[in-house]
Amino acid sequence: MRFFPGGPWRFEDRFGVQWLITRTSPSDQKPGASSSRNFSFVQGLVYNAFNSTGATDDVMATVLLAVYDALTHRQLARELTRPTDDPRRILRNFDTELRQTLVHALADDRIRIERAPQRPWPFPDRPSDPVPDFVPPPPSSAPDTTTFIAIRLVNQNGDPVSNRPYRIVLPDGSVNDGLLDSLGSARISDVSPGGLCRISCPFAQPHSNLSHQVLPGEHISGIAYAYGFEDYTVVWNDPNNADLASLRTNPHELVPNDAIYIPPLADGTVTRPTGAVHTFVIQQSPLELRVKLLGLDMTALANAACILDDADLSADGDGILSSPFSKIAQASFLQVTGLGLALQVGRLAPIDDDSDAGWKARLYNLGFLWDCTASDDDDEMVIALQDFQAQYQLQTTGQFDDATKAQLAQAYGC
Amino acid sequence: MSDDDPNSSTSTGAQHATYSRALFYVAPTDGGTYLNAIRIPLVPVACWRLNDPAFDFDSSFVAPTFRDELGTLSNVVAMNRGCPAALFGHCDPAGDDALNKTLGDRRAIAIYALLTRQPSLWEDLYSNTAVGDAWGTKTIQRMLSTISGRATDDQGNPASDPASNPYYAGAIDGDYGPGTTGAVKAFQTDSGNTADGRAGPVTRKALFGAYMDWLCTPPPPPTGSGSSGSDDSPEGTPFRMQLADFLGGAGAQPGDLPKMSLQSCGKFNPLVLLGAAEMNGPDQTARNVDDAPNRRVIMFFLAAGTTVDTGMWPCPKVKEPNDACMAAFWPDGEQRRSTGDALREYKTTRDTMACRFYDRFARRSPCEGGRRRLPFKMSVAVADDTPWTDEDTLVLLDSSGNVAFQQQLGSGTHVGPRREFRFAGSRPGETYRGEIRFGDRTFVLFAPSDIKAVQDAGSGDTALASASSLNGDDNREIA
Repeated sequence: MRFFPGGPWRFEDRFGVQWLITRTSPSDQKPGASSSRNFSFVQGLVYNAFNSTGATDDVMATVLLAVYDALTHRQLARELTRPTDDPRRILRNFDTELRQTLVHALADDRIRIERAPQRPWPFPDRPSDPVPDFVPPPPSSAPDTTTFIAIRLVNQNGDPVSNRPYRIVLPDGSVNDGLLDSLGSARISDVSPGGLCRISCPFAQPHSNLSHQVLPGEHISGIAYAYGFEDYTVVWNDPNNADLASLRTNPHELVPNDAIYIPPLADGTVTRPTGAVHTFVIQQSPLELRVKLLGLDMTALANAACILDDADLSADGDGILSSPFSKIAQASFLQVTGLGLALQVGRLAPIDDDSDAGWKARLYNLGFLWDCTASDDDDEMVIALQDFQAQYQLQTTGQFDDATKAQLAQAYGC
Repeated sequence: MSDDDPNSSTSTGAQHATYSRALFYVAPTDGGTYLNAIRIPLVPVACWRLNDPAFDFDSSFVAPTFRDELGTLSNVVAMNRGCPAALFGHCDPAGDDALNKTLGDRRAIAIYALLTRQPSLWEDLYSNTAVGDAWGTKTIQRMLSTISGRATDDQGNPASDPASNPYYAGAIDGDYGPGTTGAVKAFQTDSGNTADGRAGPVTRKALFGAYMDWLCTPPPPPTGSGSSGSDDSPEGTPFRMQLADFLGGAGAQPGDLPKMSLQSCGKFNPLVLLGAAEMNGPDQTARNVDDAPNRRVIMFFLAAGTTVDTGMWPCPKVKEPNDACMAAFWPDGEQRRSTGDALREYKTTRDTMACRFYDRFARRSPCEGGRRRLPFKMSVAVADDTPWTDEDTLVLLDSSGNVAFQQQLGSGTHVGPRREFRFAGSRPGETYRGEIRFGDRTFVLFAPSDIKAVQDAGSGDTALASASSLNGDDNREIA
């Protein structure tokens, strides 16, 4: 498979959506002024490339490699010479680097990822977008000869669940695959009256029990979602995950190589008549991003205005910014007080993880550690800990001791 | 001494190490009480250090030697457009805390006033003597002996070459004699003031302004070298900064001394603490020399877009007491800044700074003995008939793909058929990729090999071996 090294690159994802990745010319580039919606997209794309198995995802992985090559002048895509070479394996080897490269290129507007024209938007719109009331489709204009079948999907709160794949097999055996629209609905007209349809909504490939090894940056909600579970607790609370759950007290802080048991997913196909709107309800677990914004002197930035991805938001009176967060996104771009901060959502390790990554990330987020690449023999680690300890009137040992850990967990919030 | 030795007598300008670009690892939540707390980062991206020789002993008067340090500053400023600056004045540890704070304040004010071209702030320093810092007649004589353009001598005879004729050629003795009076009269005449020979406020304002312009005008290239170095401003364009180029510049008016834009650490954050024997010994001259690294003005440049609520900034304004400094001390701050038996240097012992806030800045700053960064140069064959414009640039990307350096294509120095570009400094071992952004096209330099900054042990300077040519065979066009 060959791609023009300079782009643009076009590919189709597993939902049949066409994508276009283009490089911008320097005159169009506005460093830091990313078109932020793209931001979570690339994460979603990379996520899918990592986590699914369809043939189209190989194409996607290859395209991402080609983009990466163009941005970094490497030649990873060109190494894919044999048909047996797995682009996703290569992609995984460059996981962090590739994501960062793409995210930074997007942030600097050096590349743009856009839906190619004439196909629907594949990923959920922001849940905070106003959703108009669902209006049942009008009766068919030719009731005597043909009818219709319509479906809609809502969650336990009655909110529409959009952009999920569905499959409707009509009585004549024809298969209709598609994506639910932004109202969580789909409709097929010109259906011969009578007979029963087989409906899978959402359509998910049934599977028996599986084990998933956590990759860097994955979070439980995204993993569960990738295996067809809209409610991560179904996965997390499975008795087979009890050992892991006792180890990871916060399910949203996983560590790479954690093994997660994925319970079987049954075939959810049901049979329904034509000529009606059929509503399906699924149990969803919410996913939220909550960030407390602090100023230089560690006081909360109450009611601070910020932009999270493309949404204008405001922190509350305690400086806390809360926003629903897409399960397939792993990155977010927060703009506050004139600065842009790239967030890697789901990447935070537990505070007491053996790798030390958890407490270092917290110290970094709180502005005490200035260089997260600092090695342990660097006095940056000591000074960061002493700085934190002095801030909270602890003994300035420069060591990550129990008192420091407790204070850090409290100051950070998890 | 090499260029980035903090004890060197020349000033330093440097980029701070590029941290792995700020990526905040956070955890999502499903509605529990979990939170992620993020403090808005304060990231210094570059620094400039003005060393002792720019000031006279115990004085805030900016000596003519400042002009030699200007190129460093203008380069750092040019490389960090949009990055707000914060000035910190420092003194050596001799003497009283409050007096040193005042002297540091006055030096910070002097530099701030100079760079933002505010003679009225110098007038304030001149007319309000403090802590032995009295500008007086000597400074008038020094300014008049520095600036030139005097059209006539004391007898009214025209000078043969006014452009290089200084106003005052006598001794810098502080004696307001006939020579000084004549020089002042000549300056008054040339600047359109009443020639009474008395350097009053109106005359001083004009004199300060002329001297500031002189200090901020890049010196002419050394004759015979054929190269003007890396000065950004063409000859005759005085360098200056705007009030808004500083961190506290929002809403600042001329004459203000905004919090965050400038401040003084007094003697709280020394780079060198002499041993007790020398500190208390009889040889004041030697002590004074060894204390020189402590007498400095540092300017940090913060990441573009940084804004800070003044109420959260720990440093007091200049002219305010230093209680707020003390409040920001390390718990053992007093011990850190105290003289011990042995000499301690910040760059090795890391324990001489009392202020926790400043220590964090200094810790990784090349201007304060932080991690070394290696200056380097590279040469590119750019044909002189290449139709570049000011928009066309040479760009070096770091290993994360971020722009680490960017210079106008036309700014390189001619070296034979090539043009040489100098860069302030890289982290040792950092690898860059070069691109020439030419119109809407991008040429990758040095493909397939990357650029590696290597230290030349001989000179302490570093050089890049790789080179390439625009439109040459070894370039790839990528856009």
